[in-house]
Amino acid sequence: MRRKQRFLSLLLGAAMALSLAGCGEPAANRPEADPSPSPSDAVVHTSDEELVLAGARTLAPGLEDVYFSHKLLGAWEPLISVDEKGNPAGVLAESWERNEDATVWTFHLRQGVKFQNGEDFNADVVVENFNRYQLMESGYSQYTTFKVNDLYPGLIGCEKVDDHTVNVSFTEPVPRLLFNMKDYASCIFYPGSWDQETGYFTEQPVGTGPYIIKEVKEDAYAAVTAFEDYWGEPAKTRNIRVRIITDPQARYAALDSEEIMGVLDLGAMPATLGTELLKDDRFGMAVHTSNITHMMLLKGEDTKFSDMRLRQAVSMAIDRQQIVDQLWGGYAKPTQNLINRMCPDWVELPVAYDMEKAKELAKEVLGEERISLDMYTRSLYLDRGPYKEMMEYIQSQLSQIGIDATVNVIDSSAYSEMSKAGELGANFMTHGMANLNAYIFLNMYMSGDGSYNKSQHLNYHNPHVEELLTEMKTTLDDDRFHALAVELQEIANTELPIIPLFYDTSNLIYNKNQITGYEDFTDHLDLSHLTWLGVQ
Amino acid sequence: MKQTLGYMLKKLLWTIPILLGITFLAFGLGLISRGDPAATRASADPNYIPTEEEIQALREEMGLNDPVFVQYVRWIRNAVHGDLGTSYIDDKPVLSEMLRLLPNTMLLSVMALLVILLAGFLGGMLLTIFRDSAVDFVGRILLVILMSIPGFCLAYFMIWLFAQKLRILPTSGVESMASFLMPCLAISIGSACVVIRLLRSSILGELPKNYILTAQAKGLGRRQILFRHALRNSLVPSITYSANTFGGLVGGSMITESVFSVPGIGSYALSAIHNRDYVAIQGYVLFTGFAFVLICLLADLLCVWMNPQIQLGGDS
Repeated sequence: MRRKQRFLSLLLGAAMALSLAGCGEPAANRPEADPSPSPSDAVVHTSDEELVLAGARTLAPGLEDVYFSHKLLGAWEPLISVDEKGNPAGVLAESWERNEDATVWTFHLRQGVKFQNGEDFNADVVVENFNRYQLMESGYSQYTTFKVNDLYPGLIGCEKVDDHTVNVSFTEPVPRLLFNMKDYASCIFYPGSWDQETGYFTEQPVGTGPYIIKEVKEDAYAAVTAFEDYWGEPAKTRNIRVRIITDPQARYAALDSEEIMGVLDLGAMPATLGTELLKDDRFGMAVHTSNITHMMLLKGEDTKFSDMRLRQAVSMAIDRQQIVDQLWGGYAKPTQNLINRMCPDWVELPVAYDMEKAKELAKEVLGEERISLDMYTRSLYLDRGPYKEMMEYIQSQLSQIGIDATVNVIDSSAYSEMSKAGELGANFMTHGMANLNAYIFLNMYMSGDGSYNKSQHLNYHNPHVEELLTEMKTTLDDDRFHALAVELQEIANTELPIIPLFYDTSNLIYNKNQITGYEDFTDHLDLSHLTWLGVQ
Repeated sequence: MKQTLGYMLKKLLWTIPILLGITFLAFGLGLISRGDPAATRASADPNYIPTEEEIQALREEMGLNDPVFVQYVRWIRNAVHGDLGTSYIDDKPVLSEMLRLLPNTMLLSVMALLVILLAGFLGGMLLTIFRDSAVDFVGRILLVILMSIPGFCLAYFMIWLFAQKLRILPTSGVESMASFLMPCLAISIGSACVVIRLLRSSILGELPKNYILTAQAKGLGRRQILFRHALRNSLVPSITYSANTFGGLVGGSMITESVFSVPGIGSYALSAIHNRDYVAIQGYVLFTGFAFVLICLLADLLCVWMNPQIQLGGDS
């Protein structure tokens, strides 16, 4: 009997040891991981060897998406992009000018550019693409919706001037057109691959980018190969495969096992897992600025939050730096500014954290009363960061100023309905500045008719702001536009139509022992710059 | 034979009201849940807020303004003609999407079934042969431990062990057969343990019976008694359980497919539930319901073949 008990104890001990081992201590914490060179040190690669990366979502959704593939894959190029400071930069358009009232824009196209099917890029192609844009009232994409009326308001059409020049005409002035045209909004494909009535693709489109999409296995991977006749700097690695690994823990494991060399795209690696990986010498992190801002939207309609002082109290009760340091691994920038820092009209404004002042302001509005606040976020954000933990922290802070908040995570469908019905007391979300036109962003939150002001029931209204926005929309003077943008940012920073929390960064982990090129740019990843180290 | 055919026909006819009931429930659940599919579709880009007019236009286009009964009948009619509709979210036909994803799920399910049957048979026999010995004792404890570990924990443990430490298997994906090994083990180990225990107890339940004593009296060997007599009569519970498990697996293993990034029926259903994609959910329910009923029917027939003493339809 005693022998049996001893045997049983031994067995249970072994089972517990096995379970504990399964908890998975990070590689760097294990004593054997540090002193000896990592397995990757001695690896020699060939230039043709396929470089495998991974992201959480597909970069080539296919025919149902109006862009077919994410810009990151490098299969297509736009006429206009932006430089690292957020100013317009030509890609397939080399230069441009506009008439006096900004109703006609002339684009001079890059010469010597070939499509991946060997055809020339010229004015006829651009005209055809603008005809396609006009077909897309609300072109579906999981990256950014193509709304021709928003991007090209009052578009009359595009006319060929000569083989390498086109005129784009509008019924009304569009002074900030170049910002609207950034990336996706001016994507160029070889004509013939889309439906002439809807603009949607009927076959895989052909672009001019440095990579050709050679294979797409839906929900699994997209494989690209270098385009030999690319007009710009040729791709440094011939073959790249971008896998879809939906589970963050599995992406972590894939990096650790060197099955993939890096991660990319939205929510590539949660901060906690990224921090664990960085303890291992094999890995590096490229921190890219992002056009995404994390924010808290307070419902002002029929609530006490219509009082600016209470919004200020909420904002001051939140220690943004602590959120960034504790939950986002320090890789984000606290802000109170409505506009993203990638916008060229952005100005740095103070961020206030003052609990005593917050209590005073809240007391002015609430007196001794305590109010309740239902805070929501969408489940999709849980994959992008510790949203629930952040909301719980804010919940504890708000309780100190007389606000009893609840934390709720809902799916997108429930969110749409509750948002429409005005049932979201506070909404935690991100908003990316898809184009860097400051007017569009300021208008949607600060104008009485702004889309987010209305749909999120913010109930923000300021007649002076309306005047400034009206002037901003039509001014042809760039300096005046900037001055108006700055003034509006300052007003937003004080009156807080929404509570911005911090600017996101894209934290891309990669195997620095094996590849390079992740850090070539500070604001984006360019696959054509990635290359193996130690190529034979 | 006539009895078997009659039983099959009866069983198949029973599937019709069962499936109708399932689809009706699925449809009803979709309706009482919060969320407007048109609004969700129009908000696919999180940075864009659709106007009320856009949502209304989409509702009209998607037929969501029709009375619920009309929507349901329309769907049933189309389903009979092999059209399960198009997804509310990405406009892709539900049937073709499921057929595209089915091979991955089927491969995973068949592999898992093989593991369950093989491990179940060998393990069950082993524990029976060594009953009441240390092997039996250790084996049963091990089975309880393995059965108690949730599938997703096992999945992460295997990723850590086989991919990160030993580097002998890929962490995820479907690019090679090796990619399916870990998901297969993650979904089959627990069930295999159940089958081992079921088989062991069934065989042990058969051994004291008179026909075994008769066989022993005739001088048959232990192996012959076990394999030729006791085993055959003990297989029914294990086969029934395995069939039920297989039926469930064909419907996809949502968590495992998600952890191992296997694009299959389970991950499709998970995404459909997440997006309130009623059409996709209904298609999924119809498919899994049909598959489950069919597999259970086949299992019943197999049990009759194994043990003709079982009377079909419950009549003795």
